[in-house]
Amino acid sequence: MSYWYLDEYVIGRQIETVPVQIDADDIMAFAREYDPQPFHTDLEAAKDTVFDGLIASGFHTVAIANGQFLRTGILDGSNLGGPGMDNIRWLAPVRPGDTLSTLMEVLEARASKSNPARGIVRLGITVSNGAGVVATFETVIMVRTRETGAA
Amino acid sequence: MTARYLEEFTVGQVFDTEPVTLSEADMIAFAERYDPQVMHTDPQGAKATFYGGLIASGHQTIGTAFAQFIRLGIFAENSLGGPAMDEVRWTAPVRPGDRLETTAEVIEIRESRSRPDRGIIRIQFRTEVAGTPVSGFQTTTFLRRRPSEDSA
Repeated sequence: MSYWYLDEYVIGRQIETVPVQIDADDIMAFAREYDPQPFHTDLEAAKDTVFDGLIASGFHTVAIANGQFLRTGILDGSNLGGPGMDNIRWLAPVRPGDTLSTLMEVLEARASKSNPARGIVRLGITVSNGAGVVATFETVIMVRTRETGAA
Repeated sequence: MTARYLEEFTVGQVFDTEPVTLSEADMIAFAERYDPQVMHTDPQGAKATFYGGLIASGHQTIGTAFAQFIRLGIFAENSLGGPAMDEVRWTAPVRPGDRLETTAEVIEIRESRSRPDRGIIRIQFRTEVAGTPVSGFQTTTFLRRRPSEDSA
């Protein structure tokens, strides 16, 4: 898939990403660096926590969704940066062996007032594991408008 | 520091965390997996981007900040997980070798109505490099309350 210019971000347009499976080693390796809590870093100790076993860091779930979204290619060459994310909600635990599917939907798209070469897009991301939705969040990205993309 | 219960926090309290740096290799390894874009994965290609060189994924910056807070040990076994994060903002690029300094400010504390053993604590994280804010975010965490005498 080639990248999308601003005018291709039509509100309500959706794109599905390639599902990805997560295992215990992935979960623990990520968490040791970025979220070192026993329910994310230690298979045995996690059994004695409120989660009754290892679960993925919420930061990890969001990062996986981000990676799969980027691999769709719709931002390749068009991304001018991302100023932030909002309303991240972790709704259910992600466990070793879960296969995560990420759905992206365009929520808002507008031209920048200060820079006509760029647009600002808000995307709603929903991550599911087969049993249901595990996380939702919104991400804001800046993309090229078509006129300058050809330059 | 040892683990604190909900009652041991106050709104406005600020915790300083240990400064940390990310190397070029750290940034590339993370981004190849979780944020595969030229400015995060390819030092040469990154020079031709808007950023003029390699920068860290924003996801890596916030994870690094959160980990430094967890390493203080004040949540430890009293954390019952986090249902939410809000207002993630990436305000300036983070480059290899930058010294990331993160503070964590308690912005809200409330008791759970449905679960008397716990409450909710919200924390505003702020990360700076040489005094310039590079990222911020707010976390919401379920935290144990101090067990009462008769339930002990």
